Order: sequence, then structure tokens, then C-alpha cells
Amino acid sequence: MISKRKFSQLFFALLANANLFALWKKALYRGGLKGVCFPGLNCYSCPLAPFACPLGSLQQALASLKALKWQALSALSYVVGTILLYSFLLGRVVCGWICPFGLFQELLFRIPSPKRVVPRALRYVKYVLLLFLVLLLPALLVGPTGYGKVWFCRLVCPAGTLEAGLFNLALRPELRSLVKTLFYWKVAFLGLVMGLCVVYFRFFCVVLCPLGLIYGFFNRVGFFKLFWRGEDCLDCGICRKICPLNLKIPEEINGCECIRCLNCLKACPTHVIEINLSLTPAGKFDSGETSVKSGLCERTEGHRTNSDR
Amino acid sequence: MKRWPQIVLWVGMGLLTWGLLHGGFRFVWSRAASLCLSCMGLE
Repeated sequence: MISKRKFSQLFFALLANANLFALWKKALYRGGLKGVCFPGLNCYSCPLAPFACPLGSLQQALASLKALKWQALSALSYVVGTILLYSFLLGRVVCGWICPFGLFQELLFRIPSPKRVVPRALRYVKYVLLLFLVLLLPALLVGPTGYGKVWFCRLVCPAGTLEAGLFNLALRPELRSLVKTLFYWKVAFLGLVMGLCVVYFRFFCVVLCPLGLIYGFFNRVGFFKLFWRGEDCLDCGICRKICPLNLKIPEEINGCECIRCLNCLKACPTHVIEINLSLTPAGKFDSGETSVKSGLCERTEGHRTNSDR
Repeated sequence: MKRWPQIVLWVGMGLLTWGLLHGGFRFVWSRAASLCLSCMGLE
């Protein structure tokens, strides 16, 4: 039977690609919804997409700052405000339950193959991508026309290659004359990411996704948090074994990397992990940094050091 | 520190409202409703 999370992912994937008229009109949707940012990564140049991509819109606004000034600033304000609201209300619930590209990666991970865990150091690649390709280069590397480029979309975004590049080329053969080196790079990179997603759970989210990183910053201060009741914990380690991202639970329960799949919450035999919807930020206790507060937690820390992870 | 979330919420809503009132929606719509050759790798 399909789980609630899979159902939600499927629903939002269909919603984010609901413009089926594009299949015979062979054109982008141009209605009012296109000005609304969808929470997840879904390229707005995909003919099926009725919404805008927040990451693409953010880069477009930054890239137009010098040329259009106030107009671009208002767009920047609108997009940043939207991202902040999504971040605050949902955090990385978006990644686990809404993002269509997340679902795509999870389907790839189902392909039988040896499974590995992404080295922790690679998680920091997305910080570099966010800082340089999403924020700095589009605003600072400006051409003679006064416009910058959307560097993350241009060089990295595999969702754009898959949903916009390949799909548009299939629908509109006249675009094929524009294929040059950049397109071959993007297709090769998409292939590499897809291959890595078969071996590593959500490789793109863990290593490359700047949008997930922004949402991750709010896992601790946003409305949706997880709460760990340390006093009832049996220290069985099931939560850590079942976590698909190999997170250290409870230390990283509200950390940047948790995509809120809630596997730990469901698997816990004593239900010590709970959903906490509140306007107060997660305290140290919630994130499990409590080794000095109680003997039980000290025991938990000791167990973790000796564990197989 | 406990007011962090409320501050984020108000800042987010403020930015969103200001952006909407000053044409931010139209800018995003105009970009999203036209083919982005960079996104497709066709530049």
C-alpha cells in the first residue's frame, strides 16, 4: 500500500506538472499561476509546469538588479518573502513530502544496486553552490547589457535539463539547432547525478540542492520541528538505523540535513520522537545535545560512540 | 532568541507584501512564462 508520504509526493508532482495542454499546444503555460513560486524544485521552463521555480526566480531577480533596479528589487523581495514563508511554515518538509525532483530521486534509488552513504564532507558542496552560483555570480557577473546569468540553472540544475531541456527538445524540434557544448555538459551532468542517485539516497538533495539548504536552515527555528523525549528513550538505535540519510539521531533531529521523512518517528517503539508545531525555536534538548543534563543522555552519547555508524 | 521564528515570519510576510505591491509578481511571471534557454542548456 502506498504510504502517506509517497501519496503526498505524487500529488504535488502531478500538481507541479499539471499543464497537460502543453502536450498538444507545445508551448509554456502563461496564466496567472506562473507568477506563484512552487515550494519545490520544478523548472518553470518545463511545458507542463504551471508554477515558477523559487530558485530560478531568485536568480532571475538578482541577475536583473543592475539593469532594472526597483523592478528587480521588488521581485527579489517577493521571491525572498515567499521562500522565507515556505521555510518558516514547512522547512524541509518540502523536500520530503512535496518536491517532485525528490520523488524522482527516490524512484531512482529503488533500482537494485549496491547502496552507499554520501560522505559527510560532500554535504558542504551545496553551501558553495548557494553562495556563488545562486547569490553572488548572478548579481555581480553582469554583461554589457546590465544583466547577469542564472548560473545555477545554467551549469548545474538537473531538473532544468530533464524537465525543460530534454522535454522541450522532444516537443519542439526547431529548438535542436540551439544545442551546443553547454547542453552536452548539462545532459552529462544529469546522467551523472541520476547514476549517483541510484547508489546514494537523494544524492542531489544531500550534496547539491541550494533550495533544500535554505529550507534546512529553518528546520530548527521554523513552525514544524521534531521533539525527542530523552527520558523515555530505550536507546535501541532503531531511529539511526532506519534514517535514509544516515543522520545522528537525536543530535541532528532538527538539523539542516533532515528531510522530514518521519521514518524515525514511525519506527520508534516507545514513540519518543514527536512532531512539535510551535512558534518557539527548538531548544538544545530537542536536538539531543543534552549529554550533560541527564545520566540517560550521557548513556545515549556513549552508546552512539560505540555504535556501528 | 525565542523571538527568532516570529521575526522570520514577519520579515517574510513584509517582504512578500512589499514585493507584491511593487510589481514583483509581474516580474516573476514574465520570466517564468517565457522559455529560459539557460535553464535548458541551450544558450
